[in-house]
Amino acid sequence: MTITDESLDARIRSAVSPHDDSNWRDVRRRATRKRVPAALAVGAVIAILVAGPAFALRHQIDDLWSSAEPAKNLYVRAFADCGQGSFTLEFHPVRGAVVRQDGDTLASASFTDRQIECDATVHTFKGTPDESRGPDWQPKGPSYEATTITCHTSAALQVSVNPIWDENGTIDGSAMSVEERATGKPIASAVLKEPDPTAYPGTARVYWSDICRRS
Amino acid sequence: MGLRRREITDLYASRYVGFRNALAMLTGSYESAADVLQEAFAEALRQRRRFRGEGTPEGWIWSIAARIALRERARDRREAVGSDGRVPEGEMAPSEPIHDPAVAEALRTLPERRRLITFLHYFADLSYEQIAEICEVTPGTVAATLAQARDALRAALEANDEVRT
Repeated sequence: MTITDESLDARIRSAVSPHDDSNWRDVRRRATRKRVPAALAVGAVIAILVAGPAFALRHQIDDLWSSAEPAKNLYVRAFADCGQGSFTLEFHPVRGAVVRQDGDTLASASFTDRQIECDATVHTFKGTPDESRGPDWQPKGPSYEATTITCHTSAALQVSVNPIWDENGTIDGSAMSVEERATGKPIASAVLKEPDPTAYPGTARVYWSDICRRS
Repeated sequence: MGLRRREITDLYASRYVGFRNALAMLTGSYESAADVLQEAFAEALRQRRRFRGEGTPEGWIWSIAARIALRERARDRREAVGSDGRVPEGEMAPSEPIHDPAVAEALRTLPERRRLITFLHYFADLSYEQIAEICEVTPGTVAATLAQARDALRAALEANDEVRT
């Protein structure tokens, strides 16, 4: 009996195990075992830096993934080109955050519902968390809570909404950032984390650059 | 140049099973292949800034994994040297990770280079270009080698099927 190319390929491919026993946490442990004390962490996921120069804010958002497992085929980031010029970021530490411009809602994020609303294509990326700071990253400096901030800019805007992951790889919050479209530089960011005063005191925060003012 | 952590974690998520299966052909078991792969990704994380972009990230990580696998195999063989000083036979011994004995036997008949290209194609699911980079040959050579391997495997499996019937 002649074996066709298709059946040959299928037979060879099916001769090995499809079982996925990957363990990213083990990779991280191996990568850091000589340099970093083992117990670090969860706090590092949420705790945030200084509301300093705008370039720093991007790192703050990236750091939110610092202790998460790689999440296969999960939505981790979405952004859309939304509007141009000044905007307001209304922020409630529990209910969530909304970006508005001229009365229109550009984006909103909460613990349970993340969405971007605008007349533009929303780009979503499925991927894995970034760990650019590593598990030895420690939060420093103050963070802020605000009801509404207004940011005066002429820049074309990009809004991104991203889940926040805990160390078990589950989503328990949202991060939203309004960025300059041309550079990707964040102007204002809101970070929403499931409230747990014991483990994560004051984890819902908003960050903004010096072109924004709290009202 | 360098690689970002996220690129490495993306590769880990998308390539783990394929790389482990291809490595299992080098190490002889899924367990040892998984261990090698974990070490390889850990090393890739540590050394990610040294990635110069001369090849693909897949090829770079595979080369790390293959180097670790060969190092481990050499260590195992040193430890297995008998009192007569002889090293045991058998370079790649793919029998254990392959569920289908006929496929395992057919793969065993391939020359080593052809077998590696076959593993990288079927199990690691790499493109001809990526395999060419890893094996330091042209994509055309990869295509020709795979065609030869396919013919050999088909012949071996057909012969096996005839014997069984």
